[in-house]
Amino acid sequence: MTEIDQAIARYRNEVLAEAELARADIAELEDHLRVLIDDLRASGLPTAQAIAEAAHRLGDPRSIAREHARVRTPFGAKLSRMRAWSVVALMLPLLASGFANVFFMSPRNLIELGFGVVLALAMAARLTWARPILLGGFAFWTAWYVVSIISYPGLNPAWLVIHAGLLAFLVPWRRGEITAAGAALALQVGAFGAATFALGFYVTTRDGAWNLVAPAAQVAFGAAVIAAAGGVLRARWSALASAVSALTLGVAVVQLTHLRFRVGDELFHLEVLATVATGAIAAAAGAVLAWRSARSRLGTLRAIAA
Amino acid sequence: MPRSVRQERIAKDLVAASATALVLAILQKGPSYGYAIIQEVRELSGGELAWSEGMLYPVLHRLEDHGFVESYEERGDTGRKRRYYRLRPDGRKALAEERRQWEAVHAALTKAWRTA
Repeated sequence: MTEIDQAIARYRNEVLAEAELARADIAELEDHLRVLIDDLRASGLPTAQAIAEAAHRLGDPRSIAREHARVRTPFGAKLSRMRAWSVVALMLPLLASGFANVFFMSPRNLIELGFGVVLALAMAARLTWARPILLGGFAFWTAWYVVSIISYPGLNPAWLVIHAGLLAFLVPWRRGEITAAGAALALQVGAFGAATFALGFYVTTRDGAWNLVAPAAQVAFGAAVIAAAGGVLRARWSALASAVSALTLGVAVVQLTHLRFRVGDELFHLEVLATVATGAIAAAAGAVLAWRSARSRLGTLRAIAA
Repeated sequence: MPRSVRQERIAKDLVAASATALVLAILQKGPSYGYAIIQEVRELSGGELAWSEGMLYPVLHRLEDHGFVESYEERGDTGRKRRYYRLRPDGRKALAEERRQWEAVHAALTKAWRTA
């Protein structure tokens, strides 16, 4: 291996230590470095100086890696294998608990369980759209567990620990780790969580029929699903669906305000309202970000395999 | 305004803002690759526009993502495979728009300096 080959390998390793780039993208940078070194040597610089000057002109490998990751993966940097597989490992008990109750589940819960399996597989494959979806979902349910434990200290803390652990691996700890499109998707999924939560409240009438307490949540639920699907495609219509979700969650808050719970105290009532209202705010913020980060009106399938 | 008034290379922000227009304009002349594009920018600006050369590639990939350019691989004169970029019809439209905006900025600045 020549001195130049060693220098190029060193540069490549520094880039790859920061972010995982496609082979063709790395090859492009290597080609640039090699031609630049050759040109500098041809102009009379000694090899060692040519290598140093070329590396300086190409730029800081970590910044280049981060910028590549931002462009190539529209939802944010790809999670490391350790983080992605830790998320999958922590999801396993949640999925197992779902499968243990599969015969008692409503059709909607069954679909959600199936989607959970798809997301776990997507995370294992480190597809970049899986991270914001899981981040939004687990952020919502972790927040809910935290406030629920205040009212019901008897709740099994193991679930809270698992959710907090999942969040620790999913949260973007570094600046620029998640893009605006990724943040929009996470917020839209948070709004979806709030809508499913609001759908959980029913009243029974004297004749035994069950009625939704917050019917607006049904529209919010549908709109949040559409918004998240559009978010993955980076379509502008995702922002409109997110806005509808925000509006209807706002209406659901009003509908829930007039409620008197048979179980739980005033604090619980406040927690419910705050949870759904937070979902409305998340949906509104998601709408703004989705509009700004949209790739086109109809979106693109290109990011799905990224 | 910069604190010192000594003559320096063009500021980073301005370099970044002009990157899309420059790359599209260079590719309008025909397909090219990263290193050659950098050389042409250097020549066009008389060395005033100093890019961190590795940052050109994310710019090219973003333009590709927007559908303004497309890439293909070809063996270069050294026999190594090299990625080339060429302008797409949407890129021509984007270049026309970039040109209109830069000309508007240029015209405004020229007027402002004439009256200053």
